[in-house]
Amino acid sequence: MRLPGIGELELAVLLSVARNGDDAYGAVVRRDLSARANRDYAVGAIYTTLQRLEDKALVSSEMSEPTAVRGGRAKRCYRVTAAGSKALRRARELSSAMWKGVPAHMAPA
Amino acid sequence: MSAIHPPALATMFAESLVYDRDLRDAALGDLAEDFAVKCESNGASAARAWYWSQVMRSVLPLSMMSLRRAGFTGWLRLIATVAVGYIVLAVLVVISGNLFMGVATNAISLYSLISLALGAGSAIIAGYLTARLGGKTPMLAALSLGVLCISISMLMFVYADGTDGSPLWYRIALALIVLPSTVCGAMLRSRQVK
Repeated sequence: MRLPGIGELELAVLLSVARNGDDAYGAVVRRDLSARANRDYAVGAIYTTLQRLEDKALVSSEMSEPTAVRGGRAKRCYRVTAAGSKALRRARELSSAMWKGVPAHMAPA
Repeated sequence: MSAIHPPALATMFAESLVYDRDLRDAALGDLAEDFAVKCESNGASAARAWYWSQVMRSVLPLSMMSLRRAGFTGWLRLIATVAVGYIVLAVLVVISGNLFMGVATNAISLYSLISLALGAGSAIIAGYLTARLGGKTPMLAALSLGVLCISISMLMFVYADGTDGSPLWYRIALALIVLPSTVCGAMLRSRQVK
């Protein structure tokens, strides 16, 4: 089985985009990951990762209309592409395959 | 909604980090949105501190992303730009130093303070020029120039201590103001482009 070719943070960001569906943009992804990992991710790290995912064609993006609450700036909304969905499935399969045979007390609940 | 705005200086600095306008709007809009939420929940001071920390922690990833997107020619351009900026800064500092440092003593005098101000002005001009020539990585070029100047100043402390005749406090002060000054020059360039 081949690795999906994405790093740990890239996988986390890709999962977050998938989880948030049509509402996936930088701030939502950052808040989602920060809450789940219990650490405050920098906006720069999130956008760098999203840009890498877009370069790999795993996500696509489009700009929305500017809003007042964002200081008149637009959102960049992200969506998982077909290649992104495939990469997620492969990552899940790989993870499951790797966890097989690990003693129960070491495996996550 | 809170009427408190994010720190203007931090916003200006962040704006000059990202060349791509859409990406810049997206990242700064996200920060503005979270800043408003943090103002409501934690207060204005905590929100400002959080905003600054977000901007400072984003310097490296956003700069490197811009450089990666610029490719190999981006690296070459960055190196050439920083070299040009350093030569310009060195010439300006020598000229301003020759104007005033001849009468400077170890005590802080008006002449040495003027010379220091000219040094800061020279670094702002060099930072502006570097950012202007820096293509898609203007702030990274200005930051690199500042870091290069500090590194060379530190080497001169070690290997050429006192040979240029300037007092120690002057050389320390010049090394401390060079990075903020080159950043200031890059921010001026960013405002001009905007």
